Amino acid sequence: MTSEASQSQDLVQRISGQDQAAEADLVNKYERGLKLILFKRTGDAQLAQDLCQDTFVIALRKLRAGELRNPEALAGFLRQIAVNLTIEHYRKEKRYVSQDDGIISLRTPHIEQKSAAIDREASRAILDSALEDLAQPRDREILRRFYLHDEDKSNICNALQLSAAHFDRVLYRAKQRMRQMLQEQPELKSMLLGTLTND
Amino acid sequence: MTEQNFSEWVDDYVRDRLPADEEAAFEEALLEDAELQAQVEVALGMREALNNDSELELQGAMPARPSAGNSWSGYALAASVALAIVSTTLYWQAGVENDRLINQIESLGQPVGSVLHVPVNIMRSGGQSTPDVIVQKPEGRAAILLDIELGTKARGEAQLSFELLDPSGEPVLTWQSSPTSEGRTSVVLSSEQIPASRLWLQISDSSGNELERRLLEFRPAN
Repeated sequence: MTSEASQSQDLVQRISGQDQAAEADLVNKYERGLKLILFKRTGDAQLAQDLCQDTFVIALRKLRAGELRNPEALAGFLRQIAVNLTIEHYRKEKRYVSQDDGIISLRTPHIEQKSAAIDREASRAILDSALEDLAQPRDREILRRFYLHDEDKSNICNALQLSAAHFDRVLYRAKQRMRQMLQEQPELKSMLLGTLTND
Repeated sequence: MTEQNFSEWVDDYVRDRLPADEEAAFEEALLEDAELQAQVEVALGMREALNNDSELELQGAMPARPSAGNSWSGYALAASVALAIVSTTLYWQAGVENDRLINQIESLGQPVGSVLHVPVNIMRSGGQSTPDVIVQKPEGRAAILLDIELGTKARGEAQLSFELLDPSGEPVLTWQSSPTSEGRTSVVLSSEQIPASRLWLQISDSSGNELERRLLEFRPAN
């Protein structure tokens, strides 16, 4: 048994034995990863946080009741609850358009909240500075095509007449820079990721 | 699968390029690997920075947006319009899109009770059997505005063909449209033309090659 599997088994056993400290350990261990999964799936930090809390509520209820038969599968168990909650959320709220709430509403409620929360001018200043630091304008076009427009690396290289090595260098440097900025600039991190990873 | 392999999947994961089984394996590893979490955080941060940049640019270009229950629905109530299919680009650039939609409704000919706006966004969690959008049809005669977010392939096309297909694959409605620079397109449909059932929205290029599909479920009015 791996160390990770052993830890999972220990956690599950302690929680099923009604050990409240173990429940806190579970949250501490998995919260950041769950929020990232949920944020990636929803694109909304606040929604990700809400769904993360719901995930723990359901998971703890099941674990207390001893419903997880294979404690080594704890990560998969948590992930599946989070994924199901996300699907359920969209089924119930975002994808259901009725006459009452659909007339001439241009954005979904969560996106509206996000827009309202951002002070546009302040955000613009923080973002401009970050984007300048991230890459040169031509290289930002590479990033935009890759991350935002989901273009293939080969298409981007052909369109911009780049070598694969150049593409890899731009991506590598931008990631290094973004990692540094997220560590050093809490305002930027808060703007991009909300309360997602306040650790 | 080694940890190194998972690191190589980070970009594919953030860009929704992993098959379902690999995505599940990746996410399980992500839950227990702090370094992988840091890498995903960086990639998501990159995506968000670029995305926010685009959103803020768009907000800056938009005129004041009408509030809910605004002149559109009021206009629609007052206007005598026919409901046929009208393809339109509906974005707020240059402040012309609102007028364009109104003009297109006006040019039609029969009364409508309301305009139902239906965002058909790219869903991250949809499946082959799960509708991307569920629409409760309005009471009476109404206009249904499908506001469609296009996927990558469709965004690059100058002209697109759209078909609403019933479950047996028979076309219910067809139209053509061009995507906006933001990768969206809109169409106004008559509620009377759309059966209460599940319909596939098939998007094809000008040569008829299918680019993407969405599953829409129209439910009868209460």
